Amino acid sequence: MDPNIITNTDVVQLPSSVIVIAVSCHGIFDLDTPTELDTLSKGPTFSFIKAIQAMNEKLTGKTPKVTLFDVIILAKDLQGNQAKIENSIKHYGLPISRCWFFNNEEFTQSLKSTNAKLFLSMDSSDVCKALQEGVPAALLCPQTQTQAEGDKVQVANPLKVLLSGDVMGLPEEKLSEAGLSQPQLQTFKAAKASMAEFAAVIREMRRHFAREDSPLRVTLMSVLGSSKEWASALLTARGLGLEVDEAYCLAGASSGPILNCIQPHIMCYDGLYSVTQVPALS
Amino acid sequence: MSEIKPNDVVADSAADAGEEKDWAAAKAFFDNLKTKKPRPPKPRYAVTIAVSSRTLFNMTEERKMYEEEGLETYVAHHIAHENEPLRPGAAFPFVKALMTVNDKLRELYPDSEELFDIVLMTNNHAQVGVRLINSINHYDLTIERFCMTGGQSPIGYLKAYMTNLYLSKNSETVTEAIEEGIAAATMFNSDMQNQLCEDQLRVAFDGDAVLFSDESEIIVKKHGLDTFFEHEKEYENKPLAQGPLKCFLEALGKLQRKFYAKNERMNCPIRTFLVTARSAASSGARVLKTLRSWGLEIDEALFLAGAPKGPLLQKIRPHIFFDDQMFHIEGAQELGTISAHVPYGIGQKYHKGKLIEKPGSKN
Repeated sequence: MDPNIITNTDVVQLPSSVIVIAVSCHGIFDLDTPTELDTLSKGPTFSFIKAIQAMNEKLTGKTPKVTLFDVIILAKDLQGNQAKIENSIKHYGLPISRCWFFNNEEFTQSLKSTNAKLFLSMDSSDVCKALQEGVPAALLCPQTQTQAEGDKVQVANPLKVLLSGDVMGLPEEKLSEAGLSQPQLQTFKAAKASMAEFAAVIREMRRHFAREDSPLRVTLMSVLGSSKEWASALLTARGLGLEVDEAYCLAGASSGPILNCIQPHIMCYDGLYSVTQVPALS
Repeated sequence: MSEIKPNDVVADSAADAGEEKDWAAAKAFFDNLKTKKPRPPKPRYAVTIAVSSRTLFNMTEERKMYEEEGLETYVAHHIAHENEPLRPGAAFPFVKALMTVNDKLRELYPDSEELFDIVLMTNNHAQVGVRLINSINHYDLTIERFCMTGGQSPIGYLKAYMTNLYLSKNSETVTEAIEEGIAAATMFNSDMQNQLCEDQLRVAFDGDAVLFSDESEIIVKKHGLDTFFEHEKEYENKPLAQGPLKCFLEALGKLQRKFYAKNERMNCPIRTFLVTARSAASSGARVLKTLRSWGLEIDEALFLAGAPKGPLLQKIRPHIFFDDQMFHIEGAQELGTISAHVPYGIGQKYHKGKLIEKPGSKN
């Protein structure tokens, strides 16, 4: 057994056929504030894990020990904090089956060996790397609202996934025409290539719920594309079997204030515009 | 920064810098494309009009379906009829008139961002978006910005889009918007409609509790007309406080001055009207002086001294008429004027001069 993989004995280990979602540890817990305690305090993306938990609960009606998706944590360069992270996972009762510890150089290799169908992180460069390797990946957005009180899973705000209308609706030729840089084009292409797989994961989550009162909401936002491309993105989403609940077409308007209203947990990264991280939401 | 934008615009420089960067990227992207379509204006400088899907298009039957048969049936119906354009709604002529003004502004000022920007702001479900776009394209409307909140309140988004005027069929949302400082009004469908001007946008406003606060309205309701006349004479030189639509009039005025600057005053494609129950002799001066103190102009001021507004509005034929009292709205509509109710002030507690038991009438 690889010493760098910690298994959470509080959670049932699932067969390899279940979809694996790999989440970066940075952000779930507060790793910056030094502490004498055995457990870490919650970080800005902690509420995401809780929202997934709430979703699972609603679906299965069972205790948090049974999960539909295999949620694992990837901890880069955190070998020194293994014990604390392990304790924290158990302390908060998080539905995480395993925790992988590795060095930065091993990142892409480790990610691939997890067989993750989706990688989520606050770090846009890691998301970029994952996309280049063909692993569907998206940004985790910091939330300022504290969700779960204590360890109880509340009926939290729904888990919000923000798809990029530009990735889904803009044809590649248009981007080259528009004079985007090579790195931007590459990220865009990588995001577009993994869109179908990403949509499949979200679809798998979403299909269990009705349109109203769903614990998962899919949002589509188009920043650069025109309304024509936005409509095309809506149809593409539909073609991928994905139920979109909310849709926004900005046509060049600034995305910051709109993102503040949407408050996504997960955001598709397409490398096109300057907002790579949702600002701390007010 | 344009002063016609609502007051709570983000004040910190980091957000402003982000906004500038986003805009530069968007502009560069658009400019590089070989397209004849005009670029949507920068929100900060534009006069943003947010219309709901039910005011832009007539969706009465579909709404009924939603209320009687639920969300799933409603959405399925729209998807099945996606290629059938919806019929025009109450705000449709207003939107067309805004587009006409934009065309003329672009002719005179090809590089300016000071234009009307029309946003479709709806709490409709995203799946209905395809039918809405198809309908918009069918009528060749210039609407590039969309906000479909899938059941949530649009108030936060109104601010995010820097909205100058919000039109909706839902009076609760409209009331909430007004409380947040956004000019807003509730629109109604009417059966008959007068023939409207095609090359000039005509907007009519009531005075008290629309352009001005309801302070004088309160005096009439509580102390009667005589006290009101005395009060207005005494305070003739004291400007009235602002009402919910003052900023919108201001925004229109700013665009009008662009035409005046190019010697187009006689042909100005925007014309504003004040239609008030006040009488010119006894209470009119204060109104005109208030407007002057705000640096605002209104093209035509009609003092009715209590006469019904309907017949006069029928002559004016505005694309939209704003009033705070349902009694006037109904009267205007009976004679074919497109009317929008501003749910603000003490007028909401009264109907035809009598106090109603339940405050705030719903439409």
